[in-house]
Amino acid sequence: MRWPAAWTDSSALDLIKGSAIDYLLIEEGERFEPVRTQARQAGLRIGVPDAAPSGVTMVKGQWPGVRMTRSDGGRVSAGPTGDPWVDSNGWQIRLAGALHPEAPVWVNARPPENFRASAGAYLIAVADSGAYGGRWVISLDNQSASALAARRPDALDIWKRTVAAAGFFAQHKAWAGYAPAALVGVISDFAGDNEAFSQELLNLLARAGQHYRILPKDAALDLEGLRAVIYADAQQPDARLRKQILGFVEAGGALIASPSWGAAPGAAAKPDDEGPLFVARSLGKGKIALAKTPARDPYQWANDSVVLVSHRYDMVRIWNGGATGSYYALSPDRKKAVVHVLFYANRGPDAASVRVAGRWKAAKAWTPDGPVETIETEYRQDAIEVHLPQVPQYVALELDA
Amino acid sequence: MYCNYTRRKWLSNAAVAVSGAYLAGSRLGRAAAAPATPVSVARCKTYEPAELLPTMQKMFDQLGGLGRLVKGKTVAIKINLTGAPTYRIGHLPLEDTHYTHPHVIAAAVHLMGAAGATRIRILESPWSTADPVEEYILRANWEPRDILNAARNVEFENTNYLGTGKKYSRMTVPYGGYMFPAFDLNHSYEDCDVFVSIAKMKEHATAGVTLSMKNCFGLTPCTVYGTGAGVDEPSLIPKGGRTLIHAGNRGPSKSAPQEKDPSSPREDTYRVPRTVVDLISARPIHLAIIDGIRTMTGGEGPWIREDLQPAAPGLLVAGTNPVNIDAVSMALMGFDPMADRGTPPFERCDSTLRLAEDVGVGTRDLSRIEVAGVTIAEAKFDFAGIRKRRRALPVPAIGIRG
Repeated sequence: MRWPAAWTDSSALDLIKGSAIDYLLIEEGERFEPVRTQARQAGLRIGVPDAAPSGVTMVKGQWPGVRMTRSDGGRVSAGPTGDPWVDSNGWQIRLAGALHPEAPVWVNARPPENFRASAGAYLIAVADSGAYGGRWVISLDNQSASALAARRPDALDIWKRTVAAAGFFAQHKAWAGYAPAALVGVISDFAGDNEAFSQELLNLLARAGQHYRILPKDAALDLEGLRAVIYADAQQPDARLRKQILGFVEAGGALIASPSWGAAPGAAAKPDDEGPLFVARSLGKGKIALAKTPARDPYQWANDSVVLVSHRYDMVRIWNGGATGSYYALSPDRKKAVVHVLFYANRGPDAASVRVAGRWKAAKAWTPDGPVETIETEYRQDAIEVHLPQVPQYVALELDA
Repeated sequence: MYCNYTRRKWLSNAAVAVSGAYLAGSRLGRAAAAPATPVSVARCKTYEPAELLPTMQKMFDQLGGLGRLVKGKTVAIKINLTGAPTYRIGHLPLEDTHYTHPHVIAAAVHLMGAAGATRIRILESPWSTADPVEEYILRANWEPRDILNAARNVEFENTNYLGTGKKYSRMTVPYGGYMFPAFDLNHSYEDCDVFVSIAKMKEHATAGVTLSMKNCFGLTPCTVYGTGAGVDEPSLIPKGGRTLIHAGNRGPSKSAPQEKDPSSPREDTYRVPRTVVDLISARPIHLAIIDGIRTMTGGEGPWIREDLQPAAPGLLVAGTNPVNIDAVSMALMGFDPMADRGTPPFERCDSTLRLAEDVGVGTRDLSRIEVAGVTIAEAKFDFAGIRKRRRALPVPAIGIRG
């Protein structure tokens, strides 16, 4: 937790007593010395704000939620389709985890200037990191910090719920060890000239509801279970990588790449297989979709990848969720799964449904407040559909095979 | 190939028999002369093929048989998939409330195939996307193969953009148009011999009701008529809805025919009904089927700020003249098809039926329309009464609707 600048009185430590908060990032300076001393005595670890403790990857995140336009009367911003534009740090946590699997990931994201404190907004902040196996560095807005110091009831209520959310993820640490279920692999070095495109692609794939696996180019590629790979880099792949990817295509997978991939083998596919922005070729049992122009639009690539793979294989479908995000992860023995569902609007939905691909026999739904007692489940041939009552902005579906 | 045969053959049904003569006469004269054709009404409680197929077969037989209409022909079917597939009324499937049910589509396709249609094309302009229709309906939990395999040579096309065509088809409004003299549409609406509208029986926030005619509002590609339409030329990909037709805040892409009178009212309740009549005159409907087996009351989709409720009228309606079938459907819903602006369900809007009748597309006068099958009195489901009771209550709060 980032210790608020206004909390110079060490009695504020009472607020975190018994919570999952075990690390305080406290500004340097004498005025916080009593706080530091007492925190150490309470067994808490101490660091300084904006600096990652040793062994931790700290990512600079955005405040998660539906983006509001400041210059336009606080209206909701929209993406190219008119859908609300959602900021999420999930892709950053997953990328950091893929590049540095040994290091826990913390997210440094402070409330924006025009922030209006609510339990829901803080729940989204906690869950948007926790769902993906990261930890949000709890950072209170100044007003809430002052109100909490004064023990104002409304602020205390928001705080209790924020702490409960953080505790929920601490109680379900095993989920962070689950592996992402994925249809698409994104291959890149995620650095240098490719950094901006590949990283925005991850961001927008998540927004498009595409479930992906991050495949750093210089590591051994695990293509098991994928239906497509996106080669996101502007440079041609080396011979080893090209061979592996084309082998994946010949076996029935799909490759999405830019013209910089170079000459693509195979035959021209049926015109019906082409999109407005991609030329399709067939190779073995699979297909190759090459962008018609070198200019790479991550939004278009993300959305076209969903169609190229086909919604038939959607891992998660959500109804009545508004602006949503989801992360589907499997236990190592694949007998359990968790689907984290985030509803980024300023209140949770009253009748959402979530369909999860897979032959699951039982489902439980959790919110940070506890189990959701009144879910209905429908079992389909290759999926389970869970109907939810009114829920807050975060739900975890725990599934059993 | 936009076949002259079709135009001649169906001239008597007047979907296309709109000429200067209609406009020259008095309104009453035109209404009196507007064609009247039989409309078939059937009870059908479920979407089970065992009930649906024989019911629809019988209805088509009551209209003179499908064979005379579709044999040897390319049939284009406009279905209704309004709104995004990610929104439901509560937890109900979309087809049980506001989408045309896939079993009705599949049954129609099957019967048309059996009646000799050589090619059947399922058309829709899904919300804000150039994705194939098959992909769109998968998101609603539908299985496209159920429709594709219902007959031979069945295909889908997304008509919200250029699609598989090389250019947009210029479709002219025979009487000159209320709002637009012509439209630039996806080629599919020209490249067919027979055009079918399969609609859902619903109320509509802007147009009062949405039936076989209003379903055709979605003929307009959003690349030309949508929020993200190109200024000079159509955009490559559709973005957003048809705000420019609703609000008149801008014109379609300059490459397309422009609005006739930019000084006309900028009100959706004036503009939408007129544009619909222009569309169904430019692209005449030869057969209309209205799915009223399960539907909703309160509006056309989950985004409407009313007390939306599922409903099960258990009705199917079919006919060859869109005004006639919409008039019968309105009566089945408990509304007076002769109603005009100010009277339910047209409290705030103009009547699409009256506007269509005025240009001679068809009559809305029930005394002139033969109803085959179940009588209106027997089959009526009282949308009008529900509407009256609903509107006596406070408007529900806006939110993520269940």
